[in-house]
Amino acid sequence: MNELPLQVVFYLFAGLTVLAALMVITQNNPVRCVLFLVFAFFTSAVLWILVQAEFLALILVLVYVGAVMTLFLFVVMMLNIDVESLKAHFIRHLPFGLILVALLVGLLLVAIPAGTFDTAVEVSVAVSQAVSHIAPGGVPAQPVSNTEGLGLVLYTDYVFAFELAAVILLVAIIAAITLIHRSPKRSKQQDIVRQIMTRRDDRVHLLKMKSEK
Amino acid sequence: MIPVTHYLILSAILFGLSLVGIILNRRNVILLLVCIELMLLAVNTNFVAFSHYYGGKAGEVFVFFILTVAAAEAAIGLAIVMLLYRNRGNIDVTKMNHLKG
Repeated sequence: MNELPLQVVFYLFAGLTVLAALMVITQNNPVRCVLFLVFAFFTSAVLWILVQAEFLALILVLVYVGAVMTLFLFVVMMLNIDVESLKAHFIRHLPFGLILVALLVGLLLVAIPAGTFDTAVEVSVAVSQAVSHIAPGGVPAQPVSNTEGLGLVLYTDYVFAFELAAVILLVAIIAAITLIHRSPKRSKQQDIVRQIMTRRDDRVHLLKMKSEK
Repeated sequence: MIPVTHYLILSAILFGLSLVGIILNRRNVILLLVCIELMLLAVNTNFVAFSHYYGGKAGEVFVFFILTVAAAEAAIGLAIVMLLYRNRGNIDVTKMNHLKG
């Protein structure tokens, strides 16, 4: 496998991802925030393809960027939010935030002993694939593609979790619609609570008038 | 060859940046949701890298489910944001103190 282009692609897109993430948290305008998040999703889809997770990378771009981020953009554009008030707060907390990032990354570097995962992403897989490609009969099996392999375990080992995910999506649909939906006031049905809670003063007005002769 | 550690460092940086984003933009609910999405992206990158490193499919299946749950979370969260905006006229987190005793 060609070494250098792979590394160039990885470091280029890793840098772009970090840059996009930085822009996401520093932009004032929410629309730009969401757009930079979409950019971060695209660059990390490239990174996922580099580790041969092609199906998930495509899912990330098609479903996540195509549906969820569009939903975000719709909501952001529907609400008009004043963005000016965020500025002062931001400047005040920026040094603290950067120190926190440095601490987190430093903690990770300290916590993992040097050389634990220094082997390349590709090395350990070559070994495991050499093992798994020997079918029980001793005949080398066909290498499965990423999508096929994912499907093979998704519908067998993880079928219960798969069903649960479907139920979660259904619940999400019902919850979102129930929260947002405003039915038009067409029906003439009685509102019992309002009928009980009504008071005499709401309905009856006593007027004092002079009697006429 | 790209070491796994570099993927780990990348996702740690992403995670830290999104955490900082949550700390910095403590006013706007939508920005908080965006930062949470970024956080999930960092976690997913970790999962994908390790899944490939160990040669199994379990990590990728987990990413699949994380994406599903994140989509559901985004849908419900944005619905709540819409409802909040409709009832209150703003989505400032600091003004959500109605339940304060």
